[in-house]
Amino acid sequence: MILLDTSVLVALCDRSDHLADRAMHQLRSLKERNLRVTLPVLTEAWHLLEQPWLRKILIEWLRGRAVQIASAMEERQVIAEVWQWLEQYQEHDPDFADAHLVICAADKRSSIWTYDSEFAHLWRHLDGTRIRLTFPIRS
Amino acid sequence: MGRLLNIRLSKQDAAVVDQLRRKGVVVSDLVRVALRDEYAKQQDAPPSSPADLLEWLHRKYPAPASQTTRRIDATNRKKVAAFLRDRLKKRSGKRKVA
Repeated sequence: MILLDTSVLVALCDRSDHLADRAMHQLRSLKERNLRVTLPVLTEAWHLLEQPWLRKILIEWLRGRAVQIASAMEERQVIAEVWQWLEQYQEHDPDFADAHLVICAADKRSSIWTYDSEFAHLWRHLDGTRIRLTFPIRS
Repeated sequence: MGRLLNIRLSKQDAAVVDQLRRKGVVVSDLVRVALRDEYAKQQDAPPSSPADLLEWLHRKYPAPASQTTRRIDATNRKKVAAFLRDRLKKRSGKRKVA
């Protein structure tokens, strides 16, 4: 399972984004088809994709079943882990969406597709292990 | 001369064809219409792969000529957070009951 971060979702939907070409190239290169988006990431992307046609692209891409909505919270009742993670990293003022994404990706078969370098350099899973990234982060 | 298409029918389908013929339906015309309908449907149908679907959607919803580049860099967490806070603040301001 590949969990998309906000920066990736925005780059895929908005061709004017400076990472749009890289995101599309990476999407084409993926062998794994199990793409997921969490609701907090979707909320952030919705706000960033302000223009009506960008939201149409987002909605229809998700509606076309290209990407599923991840519902780990409901399945595993792990909200307590999200609070724990947020507390652990409170000095860095993390976003709820990032915390949720890290907890959703706790499964060893999961990776996070992001352009946010904090997932590579700062954030860790609750057990201290590094976050598995779908693509390495270029600085 | 057009191309000939042979179709193997089950007993049930053959019985349906016989009944339609008895009622004056030209089965070959029926097949031609069905083929054209299905072809038109396939042309309009969005692709199933995530990348192809996205390309298709970008063609379906092109950015207007007046479109300017988005101001927020989605990889900058602090700027995204500030942008979201600003948006939510504006929204809650709008919703306040006088």
